Amino acid sequence: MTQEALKELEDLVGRYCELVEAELTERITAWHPKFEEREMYQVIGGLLAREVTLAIELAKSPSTWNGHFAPLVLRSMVDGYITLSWIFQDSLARARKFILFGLGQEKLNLEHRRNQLKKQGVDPDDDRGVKIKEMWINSPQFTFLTEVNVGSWSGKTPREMAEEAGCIDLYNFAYSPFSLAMHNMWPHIEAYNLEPCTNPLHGGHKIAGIRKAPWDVDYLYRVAKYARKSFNLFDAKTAIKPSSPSAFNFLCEWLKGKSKSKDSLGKEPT
Amino acid sequence: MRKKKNTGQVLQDHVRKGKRFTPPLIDKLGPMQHVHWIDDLLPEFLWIGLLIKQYDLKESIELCSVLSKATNEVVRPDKSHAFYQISEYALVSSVHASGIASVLGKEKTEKIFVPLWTLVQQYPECPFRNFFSDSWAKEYPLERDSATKFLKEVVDLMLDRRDKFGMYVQTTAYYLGLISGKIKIFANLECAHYDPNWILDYPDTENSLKLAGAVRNAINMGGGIVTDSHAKWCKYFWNRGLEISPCEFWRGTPQ
Repeated sequence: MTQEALKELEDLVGRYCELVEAELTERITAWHPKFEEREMYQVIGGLLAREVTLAIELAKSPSTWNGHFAPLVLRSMVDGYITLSWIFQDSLARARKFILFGLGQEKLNLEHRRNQLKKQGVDPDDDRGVKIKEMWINSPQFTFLTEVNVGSWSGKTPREMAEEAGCIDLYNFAYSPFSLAMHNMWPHIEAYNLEPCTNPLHGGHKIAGIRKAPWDVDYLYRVAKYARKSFNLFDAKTAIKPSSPSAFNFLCEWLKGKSKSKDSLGKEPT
Repeated sequence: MRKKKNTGQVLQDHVRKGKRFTPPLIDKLGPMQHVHWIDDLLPEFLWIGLLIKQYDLKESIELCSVLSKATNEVVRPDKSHAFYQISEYALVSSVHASGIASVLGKEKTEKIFVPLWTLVQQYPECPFRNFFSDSWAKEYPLERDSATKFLKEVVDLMLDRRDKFGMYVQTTAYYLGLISGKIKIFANLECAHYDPNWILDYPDTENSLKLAGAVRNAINMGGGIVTDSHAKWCKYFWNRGLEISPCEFWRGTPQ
């Protein structure tokens, strides 16, 4: 890549990250739920911020815009979007459920850690990490009052949540395919980590390795699209009307300038 | 587990059992034993491919037929053999081999075994080995690289069994099965009236496609019968291939 092209890319990414963070800030600032509903504000706002964080972090790392890595981020974003959509359907109750489940998860992690320390002959109560984690859990609710749930936090599968929240297509065409990379399943490994041997005397076997995955700006487009999708959902559910320029539109305009095929770019994701 | 009717939008013809969706064929017939063309069959019919590549189809069929007949005549196995699979030639001792060569005559022996020498030279455990005396290498010197190249070309042609070359090989084997009586077809079946010559028009005619389907089916059924020598030869063939030549990749070695 030439110096000029690198500079252009740097400017593009920098501007995109500025704009998308500004969109997030405007929404969070404009949204004032009641104190007694603060869990809803924290969970929904936090999830929205998480979506933007993932978009920004991938955008800032062009070396990860490939099939080896980007699907991991995209899958996380899609999962976050499905969670957000489902929570919005009964915001306060589900947000509280989300928090309690998380506390239970940390309680379980803490118990495993305490066990491990005991096996090593260390008193867990003397461990700084254990103390900090315990304080964190105790802050909203004492550990001894916290239930641990080893099932799904919502009581439903991601598929069921997507169906209820009206985003089953996202589940079928994004969540499931990206899950193959997330869980290191055969279709991903076969495509990205096995090189087919073309020697006929070897019967079509494959050799493990790291296949070159081309750098593709489409992955930047996708994270921007999912961040935009999350904003659209938030705006629809909170009736907030933000005025800051859209980072997604900015990116699409830039891509349109580079692309011969302009039809599919820039359509507002629903 | 109870079977449920699948009422979803996709895989509607599948039968749902819990979280599993079973294809209708498997549901009706039960689990199947897979016969792999590459793993289990290609190594067995490679000798036919070598002859077809060396000569034309008509001459190759004739050479394969005379070898099969001569081998049956000399070896007189307890059970009938088509001698269309390489592993069957494990029954041939050096004494048998001399007898078979006498039946064939010098000219036919040379025609058949010179192409097969490219195989045996690279794969010394090949069941054809008893046909090749120690003097063979001196009388028919073969440059190793050119032998490997010839083998690769033929194996490459045979990798896709539905391709023309692969079908010529299988139809030749099918023909050997028919003339030896190893393959029998009920007279009231449609495929009993298929003419093996239809394969010359493959895949451009309806008849050739029908014949090809029947041939593949018959070859699979034969391939499903696994003898010790069959399993041994097929496993040896592919493992030996890994020894005698390196892996090749489209874009160089993987990183």
